[in-house]
Amino acid sequence: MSKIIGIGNDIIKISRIKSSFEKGGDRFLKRAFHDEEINNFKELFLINNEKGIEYLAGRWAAKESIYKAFGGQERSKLGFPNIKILNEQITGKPIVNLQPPTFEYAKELGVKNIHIAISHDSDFAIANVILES
Amino acid sequence: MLRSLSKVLNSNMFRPTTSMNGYLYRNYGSDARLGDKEITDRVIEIVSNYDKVLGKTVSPSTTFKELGLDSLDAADVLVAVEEDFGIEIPDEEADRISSLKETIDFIKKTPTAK
Repeated sequence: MSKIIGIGNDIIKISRIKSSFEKGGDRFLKRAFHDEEINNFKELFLINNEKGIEYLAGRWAAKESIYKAFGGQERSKLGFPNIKILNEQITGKPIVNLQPPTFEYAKELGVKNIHIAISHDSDFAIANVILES
Repeated sequence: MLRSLSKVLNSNMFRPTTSMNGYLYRNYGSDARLGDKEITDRVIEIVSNYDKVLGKTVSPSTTFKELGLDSLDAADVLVAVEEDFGIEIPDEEADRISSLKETIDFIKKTPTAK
């Protein structure tokens, strides 16, 4: 029987992500995001800068939420670029796709499913996460 | 003029002997490595200039938490350090760094830091 083994949430001011990107550029992107997320961001950013930054902010909040849901684990084992968050094509629902070695680490801890929700409203992005065994 | 130019290009000035070259190389190598003090001073300067840290006392033993920096701030600081020293801190190492001392120690063991 599956059970909830962790919950986490996070809120981030979108302007902070904008500032981090403006200051750090690609270095910042690589520090926090998976290549696919970076590509999606760049496509969005080209069409609409604000939407692009909003996308990054939502992902950042989601990754922090996942880190918190794991409850005090070493950050180095939950490297943000290894936490890939994409969207289902039809519904747009965010889905978490852990990459090695974070995938194996989560498996060791008994995490089978990661449920996630991301929202934005003007200045803020927020995410909620539930870990299921 | 061309003849004298070719003379200069063929001179030992541009073709150092092996021993001379080795000597120069070793010297250059040791000079090129940054000193501990320079690394410490530059890291303190980078952190001190970060918006949220302005006006706070920063020493090599200060942790990011003591400065009120969260994970996004820490990412910003490490990106600035990478930029300044011309290095790349691998993700796993970066996730372990939570103080100036750890930042300084990483740069000390990175020979490409400049």
